[in-house]
Amino acid sequence: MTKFLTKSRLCGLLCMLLGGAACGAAARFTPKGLLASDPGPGLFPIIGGAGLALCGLIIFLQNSDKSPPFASDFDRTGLIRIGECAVLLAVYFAVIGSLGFLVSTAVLLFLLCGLFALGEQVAWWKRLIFTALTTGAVWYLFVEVLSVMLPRFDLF
Amino acid sequence: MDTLSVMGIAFASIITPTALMLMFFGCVVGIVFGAIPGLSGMLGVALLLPVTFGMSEANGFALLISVWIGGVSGAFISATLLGIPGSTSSIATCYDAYPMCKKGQVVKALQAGILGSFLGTFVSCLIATFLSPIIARLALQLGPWEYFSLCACAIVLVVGLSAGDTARGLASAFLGILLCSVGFSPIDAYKRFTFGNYNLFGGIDVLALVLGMFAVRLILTDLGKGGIDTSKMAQVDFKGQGLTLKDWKNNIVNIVRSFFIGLWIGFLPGMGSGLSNMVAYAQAKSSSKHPEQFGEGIVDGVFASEVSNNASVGGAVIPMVALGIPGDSTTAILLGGLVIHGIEPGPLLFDQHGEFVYMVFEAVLLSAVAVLLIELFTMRWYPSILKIPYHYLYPALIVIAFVGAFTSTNTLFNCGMMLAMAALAMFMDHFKLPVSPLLLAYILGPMLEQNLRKGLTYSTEGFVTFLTRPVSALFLIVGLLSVVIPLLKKKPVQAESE
Repeated sequence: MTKFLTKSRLCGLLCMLLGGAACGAAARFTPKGLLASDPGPGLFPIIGGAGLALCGLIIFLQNSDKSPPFASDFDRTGLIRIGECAVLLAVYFAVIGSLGFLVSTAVLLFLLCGLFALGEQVAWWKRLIFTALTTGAVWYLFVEVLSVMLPRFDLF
Repeated sequence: MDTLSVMGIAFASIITPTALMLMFFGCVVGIVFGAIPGLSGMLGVALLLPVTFGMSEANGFALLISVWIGGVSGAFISATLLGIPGSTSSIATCYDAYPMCKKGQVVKALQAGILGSFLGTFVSCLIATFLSPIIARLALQLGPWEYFSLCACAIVLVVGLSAGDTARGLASAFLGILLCSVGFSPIDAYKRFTFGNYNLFGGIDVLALVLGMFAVRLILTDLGKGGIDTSKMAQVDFKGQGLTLKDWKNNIVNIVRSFFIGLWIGFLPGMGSGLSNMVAYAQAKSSSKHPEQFGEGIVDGVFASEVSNNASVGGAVIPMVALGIPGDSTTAILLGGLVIHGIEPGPLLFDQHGEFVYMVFEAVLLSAVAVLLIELFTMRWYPSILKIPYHYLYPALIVIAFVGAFTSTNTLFNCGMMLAMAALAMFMDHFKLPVSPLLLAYILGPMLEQNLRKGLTYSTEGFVTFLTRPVSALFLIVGLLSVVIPLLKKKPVQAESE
């Protein structure tokens, strides 16, 4: 089974599934257009879905990359680092609305600075200064100069 | 009054100290906005538009045009030094300028970007100045069939970049078509793939897509690989490291071809530098004697992208002044500015406000020179950005990407979309699906669909009309050949290797 399911074949299968699903959903799009000759809003996604499914079939049959489906270009340490960063970004996205830009960005920058040091020791006070300066500069540029309404922390 | 006299009066109106100072300021702002991922010259123009209300027409438009020109040119800086496009106009610049920097050819990459940008803007505007009325009449002959075929041809040309695996390139393009189908459909505003989420009614924001697929993905990839060694890139010796006469000689055809691609695409309404850079890059690669070096850091790729995206500026000015039709989103804002200043854009603009029209052209020319001088004088400071340690630079870029995505729609949803697009790009990397065809299909998707539906609606012969109209058929044949020829070229090589 593992020999059959190569990276190319998994890619082809996923393309076929996604393309098929998009075609199925798009086929139900009505109305068929304002004029009789207008193909309606379903035609374009059907072209996209059918094309994707067809390409998926070709990729599946060509099977040009026979490596295991989950073989990564990164080593284990690299994957862990990417995972940590992804979790940090997801948490940042989840809390920025409630904690506001200043607090959440400061925490994110402090933690990312440590993560991107790749094991090298960066003094905590340097990280603090970097965090404060960057957060402040971005806030000043976007909120004070460009009048962008970045999320704020409101206690009440 | 003859044309030269009108040009002279127009020139006198923008050669005043106030107008020149505003243009210098505008160029600097434009370069900075263009260089910061997430911001763009368009945003700069939009932000400064209200500032011009109290100014004279000449001063106001000198400022806005200089921001625009600075923004298109400045976008290459972050693309070159960080591999992150400042805007969609410099996506193809990343492909070779960034690898050149990694190889220590920072000065050559920067010079190619600066001089390519200048050539593109300056010459295209010169052409626009004299040929606007003629070319504008030509554009009116094109119908939805030609626009559809041109968009399809452009996508297929970029698919040709993944010559090693056409099926994967096409799969990526079809994925882009599906992504751009999200939201209200053109013509009848039918809700598609929105899952009841009102944030998706307007579709997936292009900035979230670009920032996710380029900035966040690049940062995560570098982190996974253990960082990049920027020390070689940062230690730049400016003496004897720049462009050589040989580089220029080898790229004359490439520059001319890229220039006309950019001019033509910029001239077509709705298309602009975001498209031209990728089409010109694809053409440069497919016509090159050494296509295998593209993507590894070759100056030809930088010239192709930067000349073409800046040539789109002159192209976009033509329909703006001659027809009152915006060539891209920035010219759409500029047209709004014209209306605010009491000038009605359209075919009568040349007759009614001839001085103003030539003032616009001259402002573009002066801005191009100002941008060239500013960038040449400040170029030696650009590489210092690479001296910033990796653990300070990338976290700051992530925050700027977040804010850029937020700024685009003023919703946090867009930041989530940016992360989703980064995840999709990482996923595509894993399966070796190229990202560029997806991006181009996404950018051109709405225009492709609109013209497909219009073409089918207007015609009684259905799809056949796309093949019976000569210009449309020509674009489709070019697109088909760009896929077939690399496949035919590939076979003998495989046979030899077997």
